[in-house]
Amino acid sequence: MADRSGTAPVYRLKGISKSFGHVQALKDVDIDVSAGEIIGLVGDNGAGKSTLIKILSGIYQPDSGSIECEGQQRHITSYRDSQALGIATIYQDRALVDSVSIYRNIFMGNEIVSPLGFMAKRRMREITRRLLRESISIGLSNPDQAVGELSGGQKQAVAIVRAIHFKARLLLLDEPTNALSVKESQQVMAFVKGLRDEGISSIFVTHNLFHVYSIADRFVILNRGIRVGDFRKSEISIERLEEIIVAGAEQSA
Amino acid sequence: MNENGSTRPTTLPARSVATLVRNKDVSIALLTAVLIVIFSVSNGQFLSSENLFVMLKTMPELGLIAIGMTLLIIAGEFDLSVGSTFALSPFIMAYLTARAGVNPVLAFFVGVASGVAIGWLNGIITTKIGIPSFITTLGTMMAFRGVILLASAGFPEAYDRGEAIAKIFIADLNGFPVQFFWFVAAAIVIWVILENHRFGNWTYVTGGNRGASVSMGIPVDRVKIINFMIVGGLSALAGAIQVFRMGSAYSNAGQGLELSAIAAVVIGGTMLSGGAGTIVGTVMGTIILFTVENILILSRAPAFWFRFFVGVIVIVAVTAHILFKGGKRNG
Repeated sequence: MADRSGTAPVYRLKGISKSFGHVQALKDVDIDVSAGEIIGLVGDNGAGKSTLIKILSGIYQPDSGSIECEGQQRHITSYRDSQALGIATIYQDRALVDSVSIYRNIFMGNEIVSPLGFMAKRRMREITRRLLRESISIGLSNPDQAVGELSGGQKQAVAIVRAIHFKARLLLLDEPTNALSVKESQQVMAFVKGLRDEGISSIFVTHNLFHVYSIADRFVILNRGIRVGDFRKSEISIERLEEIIVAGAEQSA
Repeated sequence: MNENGSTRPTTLPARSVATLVRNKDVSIALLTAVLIVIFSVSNGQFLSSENLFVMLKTMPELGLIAIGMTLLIIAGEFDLSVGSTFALSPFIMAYLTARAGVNPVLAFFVGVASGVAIGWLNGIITTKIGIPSFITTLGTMMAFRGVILLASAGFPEAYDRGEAIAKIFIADLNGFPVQFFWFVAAAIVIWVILENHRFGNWTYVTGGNRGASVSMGIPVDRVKIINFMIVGGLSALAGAIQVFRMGSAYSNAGQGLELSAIAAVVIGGTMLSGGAGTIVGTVMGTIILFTVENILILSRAPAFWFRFFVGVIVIVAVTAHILFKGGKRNG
């Protein structure tokens, strides 16, 4: 497997701070994301993981700090800005529409249309069929199947497939394995891992250290909004990772 | 799975039959056909040309509204004000034509435009202020009924059925009422939009999952407002057709029509939760409502039985749709 984490970072967060009233949710956080790198963003409740994800997806704006994409400083003030920079947030419930088919979900908001707005359904179905075939691990083939009939893992995979088809290069996965069966979690993780070879990076937020340890190349540990650790997987054991998270939580308790 | 360029997945014959029955459009069409067979066997007058003429002549008035309501319910909203629009907009048309001497064609378009404007108002209040459309349109239903009662003082406004514009909508083509063509044409146009146009896809996804639609950049408020405007315009058109047919605009026209329209939509398999539904189902739902009413009239049953049967049909139909749930809802 190609190790691309040695190349220059594609996304670079520098000195990100954000507070809500008196609560400092993030303080001076730096994170670099290289192409094809999977980062496990870990920390106890209230560490600032979700705030960081929301800043990257344009829901919150940081009070200070900068975000660079391929060396250029960028401002992310909306979800659309975030998408334009190739960042895609994969939510559990907010991503797909259960009552319509897979291909209508894949192309919602990005339909292939004639000048009068009529959809090229044949092409949309063909592309969907190809996308499903390429992500064979999720076991779907019919673009007309309603998304409501899919399992939780399959839905996430469809959301990820869609993001990548529309040129996402960084996936933000916020607790993606919550509410999934063990087998489905494995499928989603295998799928995300497979994307590394295409240069697609992920930030994986979860409480489940076993899940994140098996998949991530690097771990960024947050505690009370401060980055307390940044380790490559070879530098740290899962026990040590857990110790740092727990110790940090106790320290601040 | 066959990959070589076929647009539809290839299926075995047995499976495709099962899929067909699970398809809501097919199952509701079958149900409608069964009802029509039962009615024509049980009453010799049912299929007489006079009786069919009466049914096909009156059906478009409810049917046009129900088609619009289907779109709006798929988009996740309701419109209870359709009955008031159905009365007010053609009243404006009749008033302008008969009293103000306005060109009848222009008056017709002003009437329809007033319906579109009521829809726009419903849409703006619902999406921009954030009031549930049930409440918004309950309010506009009462307010606009009040407006027409005030303006008409309860008296009907006469309309000359001989106007050319009226002929376009109510002519008799060798025993076939032309308004039924308008109903079918509207159904086809809306069906094509839902199935094949980007706006149709936006309507489905907006009603199915608003949050997901917003995050994919779909202008959900605009989608809803446009659907409200379509319902308003179709309600005004339906009201105009009734005025053309009856030769008068009545201030109490269309009372209760909103519930009949919602009943037709629901019988046709559109779920009130939004995100799913079909025009074919609504057309069948409209046909079912009219044939049931008709057979009761032909059997000289007391009129209140109609309400009773509609109630039973709504519950039975929705139960059946839930039991048959599955299959593709749109594609």
